[in-house]
Amino acid sequence: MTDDEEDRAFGQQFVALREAAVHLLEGFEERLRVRLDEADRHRGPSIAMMISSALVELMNVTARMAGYTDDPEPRPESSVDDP
Amino acid sequence: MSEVDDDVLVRRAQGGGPDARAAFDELARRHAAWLVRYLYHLLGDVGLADDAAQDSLLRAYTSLHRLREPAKLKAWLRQIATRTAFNARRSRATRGRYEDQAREPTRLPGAHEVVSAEESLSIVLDQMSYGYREILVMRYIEELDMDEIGEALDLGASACKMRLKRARDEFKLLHERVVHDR
Repeated sequence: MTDDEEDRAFGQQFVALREAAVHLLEGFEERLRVRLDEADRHRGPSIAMMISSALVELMNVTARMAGYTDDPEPRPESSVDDP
Repeated sequence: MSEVDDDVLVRRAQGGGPDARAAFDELARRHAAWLVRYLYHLLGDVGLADDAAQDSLLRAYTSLHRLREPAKLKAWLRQIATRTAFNARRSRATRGRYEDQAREPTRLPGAHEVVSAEESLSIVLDQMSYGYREILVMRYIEELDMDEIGEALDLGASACKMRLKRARDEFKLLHERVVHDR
């Protein structure tokens, strides 16, 4: 028997387990909800969020030091066409 | 009403806004059933599978920010569940060494006892080395392809094939014994 044939034969052999129903135990969702609530209470800001905030802050400081500001008004352009 | 895709819910849950928790609750609701089923076949016990599924979903919740490809949520959950089952089994084995040895051994069928195909498969799986049981469950119950198995077990393609072949050999040997002992 080739490897592929044996693979298919095993697939057939396991049909009974594939089709067997396994149900969640009663109260699964409620127990999970309690554990997630607990995790929410103990969880501070994630490291990823802290790093992300620090990067944004660093970019702002760098921008301020370079004299750049987000100016909503268009800057007046010096034009050679001016009379 | 059309159902929101998993990857959209993952992004919502990762966003940390007011609906982040509701998004994760919905993901947990969608994925709990197959997780419990998968873990039951790995661990052979409904109670352990239930605990391991809870642990897996909790771990997924607290480390969701690490999931870089939201579309791969199911594969990522499977990876978490696979590790959780491995650890659950190991801690059960450790506990077993210290606990009273009066526990009931795996029940084998009597000489003329009729067992269903499902029962005989479970009996054989219970007797297998865990690494072999794990790969048989993935391939023949979860019907994963070799790439998905490799991803879940962190193994290369040839290592997966070799392990699967050895697992089938062990299964055949044990299955014959179970059938002949009856």
